[in-house]
Amino acid sequence: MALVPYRTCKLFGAIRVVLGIRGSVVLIHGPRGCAYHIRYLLGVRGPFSGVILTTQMDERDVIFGASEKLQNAILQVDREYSPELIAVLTSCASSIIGEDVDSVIRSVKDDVEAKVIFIPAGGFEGDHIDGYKEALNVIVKNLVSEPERRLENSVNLVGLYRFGPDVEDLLNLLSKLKVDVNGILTVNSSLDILRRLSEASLNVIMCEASGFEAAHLMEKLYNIPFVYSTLPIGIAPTERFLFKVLEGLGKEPKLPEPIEKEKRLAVKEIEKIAEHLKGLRVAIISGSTRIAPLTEFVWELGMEPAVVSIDRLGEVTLELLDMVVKEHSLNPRVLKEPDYQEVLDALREEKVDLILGGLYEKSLSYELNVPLYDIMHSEERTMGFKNAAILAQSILSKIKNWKDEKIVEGSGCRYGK
Amino acid sequence: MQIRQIAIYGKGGIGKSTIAANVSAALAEKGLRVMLVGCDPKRDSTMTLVGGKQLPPLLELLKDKKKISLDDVVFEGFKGVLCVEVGGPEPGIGCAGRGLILAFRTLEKLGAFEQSLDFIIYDVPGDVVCGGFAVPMREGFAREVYIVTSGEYLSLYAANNICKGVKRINARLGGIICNSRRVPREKEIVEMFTRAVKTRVIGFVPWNPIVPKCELQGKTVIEGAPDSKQAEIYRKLAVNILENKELVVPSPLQHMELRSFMEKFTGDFAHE
Repeated sequence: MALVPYRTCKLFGAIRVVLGIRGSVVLIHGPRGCAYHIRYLLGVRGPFSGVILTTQMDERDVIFGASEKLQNAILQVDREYSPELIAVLTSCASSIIGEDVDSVIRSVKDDVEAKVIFIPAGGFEGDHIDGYKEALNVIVKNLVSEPERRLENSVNLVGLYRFGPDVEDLLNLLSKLKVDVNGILTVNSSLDILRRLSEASLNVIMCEASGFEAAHLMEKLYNIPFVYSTLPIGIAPTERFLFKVLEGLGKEPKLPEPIEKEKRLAVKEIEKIAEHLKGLRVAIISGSTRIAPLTEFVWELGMEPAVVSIDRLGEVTLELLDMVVKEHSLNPRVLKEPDYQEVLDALREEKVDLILGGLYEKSLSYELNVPLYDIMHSEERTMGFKNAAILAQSILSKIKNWKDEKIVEGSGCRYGK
Repeated sequence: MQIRQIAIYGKGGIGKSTIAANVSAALAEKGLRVMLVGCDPKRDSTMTLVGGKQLPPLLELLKDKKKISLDDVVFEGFKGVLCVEVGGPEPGIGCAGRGLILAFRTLEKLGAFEQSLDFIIYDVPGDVVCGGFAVPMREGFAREVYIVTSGEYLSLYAANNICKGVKRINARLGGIICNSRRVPREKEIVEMFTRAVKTRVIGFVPWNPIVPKCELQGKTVIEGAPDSKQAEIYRKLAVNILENKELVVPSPLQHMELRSFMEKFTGDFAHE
C-alpha cells in the first residue's frame, strides 16, 4: 500500500547507534544520497559532529560490484580520519547485490589502525528499530570483551542514542542515587567503555523497542541481569524508573533525601503549572520508548492524553502504556504503527490543542494550526524530577506564545485546506 | 519496414548461442540485415560470427568510463551480421541483471535500434531469474520470444519458467526450439510439453558433431559446413522463424503438473 511513512529505514537506526560511540565513523557502502539525507536530518535535529561517509556507489558499481572501492575507502578513511572504529554499513544497493563486505574487511584488517565492523543495513531489510537492534547485536558480539571483574552497584544503560544535557542530567541523578554508570549503549561511549560493558552488575533497558535483544545477549554471554521500566520523564515515571534500578541492584526502593527534595519541589511547581494547562487535549507522537511516560506526564500536567501514536511497537510498549492508562483511568486513542494520514485524521477528529512530538510533526502543526512542542531534539531536557518541572514550564510557555509564533511561522508554507 | 526483434531464452548451456548465431547467419545469407545482441555475461554469443574472437563487451567499456560510440560496440561479422556483446560482471559479484538494464539503455541512446535492420536477435542467458533478464522482452524490445530446450527435465523446467516470464510481461511466444541432447523419445517429450504450454515446436535441431567442430574453428555451421545437413536444418529453422505468425501468450504449467508430466516419461524409460 502506498502511504506517507511514519518511520524510516534500517540504515538510519544503525547509523544513530554507531554515532553514539566517540571516535567512530560511519562508512555507508552505497549511493551518496543515503549519507547525505541522513546527515542532513541529524544535523537539523541538533548539534551534530558525527562523520557519515559514503563510498558513492554508482551504476557501474552495482553491476560489477565495488569491493575494491570499499577496500580503498576503508584504507583512506583510516588514514584521513584516524578513527578508533569504522563501521561499514550496507545500503539498499550494496545489500541487493550481496557485496561481500566481510571478506573486504578481512582483507584490510591488518592494514588499518581502526577496528572495523560490518553492520548489514539495507533499507529494505527493516525499519530504524531493526537498525538499532542489528547494530547493538554487532557491537555486543564484536566490541565487548570478557569481564575481568564484576563491578558492584554498576549499571549499563542500554539503548540511548541521543546525547545531550538530558543524558547528562540523568547521569547526575543516578550518581546522587549512588548508582555507578559503567557505560551506555551507545551514546557518549568509546571502544574502551564498550569493551568493559561486561563488568556491570545490571543492564537497564532505556529503549524497550531495541534494547531487549542486546540485554538478553549480555545476560547469556556475561550473566548480567536486566530491568526495564518507563523512561524517567515526569514525576511518577522517574520515581518508578529509579526504584526499578535500585531493585535491580538488590537495594531498597527508597530515594535519598536530596532526591526526595528535588521531587517535592518539582511536584509543587508542576501543580502550579497544571492550573494553566488543565483540560487541554494532547496528542503524543513518539517512538515506543517515550510513549508511556509521556502519557503519564501529560496526565500529571492536568492535561488529557487524547491521541497516543506509536511509530513502532516495542517488546513491552503496550504493557507499559496499559499500566499507565489503567492506573490513571485514561482513555487515549492509541495509534499503533500508523501512517501519516491516520495520524492527521486522528488529530483532526480528536481536536487536540497541543502536539508533543518532534520535527516530523511540524507539518501536522501547520496543517491543524495546533502548537507543537518538540521534545525530540538533543538540547531538550526531559529526564528526572527537576527536568519535569522545566519541561512543564516550557510546554506552558509554548502554548502561551503560540499566537505570536504563528505569525512568524505562518509565513512558511501551509499544507492542505 | 519495422525491425523484427526476437529474443532467444533457455537454460544455461542448452545451445542458445549456437542457434542464435546460426539463425543470424542463415538470415544474413538470405540478404536480410541482422543484428545479434549477446546478453550473456559469458560474452560468447557472437564468437562464431567473428572468427572465434571475443568482442569487447559493452559493459566493460562503460565500466572503464570511456565515452563510447556505436562503432565501439557494434562489429560486423559473417555476411554483414552486426554483433554486440553486452558482457557483465564476473560470476559471484555485482548484478548482471542491472547490467542488462544499463546495456539496453545505452544501446538505445547510441541509436543501435534505429539502424537500418530487418532483424534484431537477443541471445539471453539462462532463466528469467530477475527483472533485468526480462528486459529484452519488455515493451520496445523483443516482444517475440523463442525458447530453446532439450527433452531433459531441468531444461523443460527452465523453459516453463521462461513461459511464466513471457506471460507475466505479456510478451508473445513464437515457439519452442528443441536442441537435441539425444534423450530417448526427446521429440515426443518436447512436443507434448509444447502442446501443454499452448505453443508449437518451431524447429528440431539434432545433435551433430559438426557443430562443435565448426565452433572450434570460430565459425557457424552455415559458414563452416554450408553444404551439411545440419546447415540445412538451421536454414529451415531461420525460415520458420521468418515466416512465423503464430505468436501466443503461453500457459505455463504448475510445478506439480510438470513433475507428473515428466514422471510419465521417466517411468516409460525404465521399461526401455
